[in-house]
Amino acid sequence: MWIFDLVLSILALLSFLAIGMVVDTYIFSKRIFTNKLPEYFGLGLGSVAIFGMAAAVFGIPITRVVVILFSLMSVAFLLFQRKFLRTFKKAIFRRIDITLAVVLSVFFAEVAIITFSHPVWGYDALEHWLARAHAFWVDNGMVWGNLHSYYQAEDPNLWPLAAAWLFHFLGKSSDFWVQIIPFAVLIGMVMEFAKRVLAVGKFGYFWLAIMAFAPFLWFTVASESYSGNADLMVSFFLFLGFGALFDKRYLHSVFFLAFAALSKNDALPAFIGICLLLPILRYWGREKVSALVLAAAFGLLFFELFWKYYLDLPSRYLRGDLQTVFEARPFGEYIKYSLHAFREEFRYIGRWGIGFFVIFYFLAVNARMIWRNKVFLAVLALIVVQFAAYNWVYYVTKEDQAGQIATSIFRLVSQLYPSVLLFAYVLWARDTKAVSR
Amino acid sequence: MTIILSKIWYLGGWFYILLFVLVLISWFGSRRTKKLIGNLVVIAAAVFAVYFTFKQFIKIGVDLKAFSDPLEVKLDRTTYGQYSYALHLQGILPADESGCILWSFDLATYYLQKELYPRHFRVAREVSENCKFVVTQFSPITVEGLTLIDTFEGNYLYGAN
Repeated sequence: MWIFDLVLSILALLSFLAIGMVVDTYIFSKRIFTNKLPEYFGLGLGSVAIFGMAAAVFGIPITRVVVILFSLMSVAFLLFQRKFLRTFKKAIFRRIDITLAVVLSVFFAEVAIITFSHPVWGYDALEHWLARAHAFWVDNGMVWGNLHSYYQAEDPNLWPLAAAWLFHFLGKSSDFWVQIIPFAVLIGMVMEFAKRVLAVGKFGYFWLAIMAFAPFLWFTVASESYSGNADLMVSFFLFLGFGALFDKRYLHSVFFLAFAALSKNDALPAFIGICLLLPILRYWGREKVSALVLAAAFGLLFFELFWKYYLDLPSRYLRGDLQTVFEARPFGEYIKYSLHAFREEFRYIGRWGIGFFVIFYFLAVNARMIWRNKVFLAVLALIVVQFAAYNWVYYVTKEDQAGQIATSIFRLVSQLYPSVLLFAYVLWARDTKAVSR
Repeated sequence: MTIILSKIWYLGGWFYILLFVLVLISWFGSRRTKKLIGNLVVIAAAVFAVYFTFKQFIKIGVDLKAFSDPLEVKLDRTTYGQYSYALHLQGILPADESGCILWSFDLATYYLQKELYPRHFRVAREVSENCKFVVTQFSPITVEGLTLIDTFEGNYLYGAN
């Protein structure tokens, strides 16, 4: 019965939330619970992935019983916190803007109707993401066989592990109900953005509209071709990671960027970038980056690289013969082609509205502010590194460059869009405050 | 000169040219001008976002019938009947079996391969000796050495002799 499956799927989502709350409350935030549900959801997704990867190394099967016990234990840990119940009630039942709630509810209802009229039916999803999720569910976790069976075996597994976790709740593999995870991620991103932009007052509604109604962002969830991909996970974690950086919550930032890299190798440059930037921020920028943050950053990087090495999953881009690539492909021409492709993509208003107009405008007019602020410079560096990495991949790819650009550029841009829009908002808000003084 | 202007228009269009102009005005104008332009840009972007989303919703259409169909109908409609065929094969092939799925088209083929796991069915462009079972979707084949074992709604399962 579909209602039973819906309830179980919602319970799976709540289990991610509960696990994230436990991780944040006990490890990050010194037992202080605040209203940051999207961050808890992200922490839960990432924690499940790390648990799955560790279980693969130690040969621990992840069965339905383990999943449900883990989830129940998380809920129990939270209920033991007396403060949690008090602050949870206060945070959830605070005053909500009714008009905004109605508008967003109608919007998300429309997206849900489109999304849940079909199962996932996209090439990348069926060929490896959900194929792996199905295998992880059947085999009770990642094993050598199911990791190496699929094309692009070295791709990270946060999304298939999260999907397999949901399948354990359902008791079956389902390309239909798995869509509830990206749907929840979309709601989480919009909620988190709303919390930030509405803090400045009613003008924040316009910013929220730019983000929530970005055509390609919700279409990634609603479309059968893209809802099974991992790009929205990368968007979500980069967004949370950059948001935490702006708040100078470096530990959260490190974990979210690590989770982005655990979603797709595309986000590895941003994660490696933060690992290299944090010591610079601490020692030269004199920012309060604790030793724990540095340990976490390099620890997570080591864990990810060790895991790939231990299970013999090296990157296909590092295995290629770069000398041959340099000889066969004129570097300048290929990079120029990629840059032109991105130039066209940024002004594709059917996909992004004029979101990139907003982004470039505020980056340009606030260049001096960015230059004077270490955190802004760090974020800009991460964006540039990500963008450069995308162009590099388009240069070294074994596939035809034009073909690969045509089928993937909008997905790569969607990975960065929410984060750079958030950056534009932060610059606008900071500048507006400065003008008002 | 005309060629240069044409090239600028071709590469930039109203998007980048207007952006350049507004950035210049903001750099050299007063703070008040900068704030006004910034706010207008944000408002315009919000209007564009809502407009294009609304346009997309109309294009896709609110198909409440498709949404309210039973799950099995939705699955078979999207997968061209391969959801039911996968269930059927799961019922007749033991979990440790292996074979080949002949390529039909990418999504249907990979979908069936995924659904049959843990049965190891590799995707093949032609029948080979290593195929203990051969699945063909949507159309039958005639190959020496293969015997038709099962048919299900236009899909065929063959066994090697």
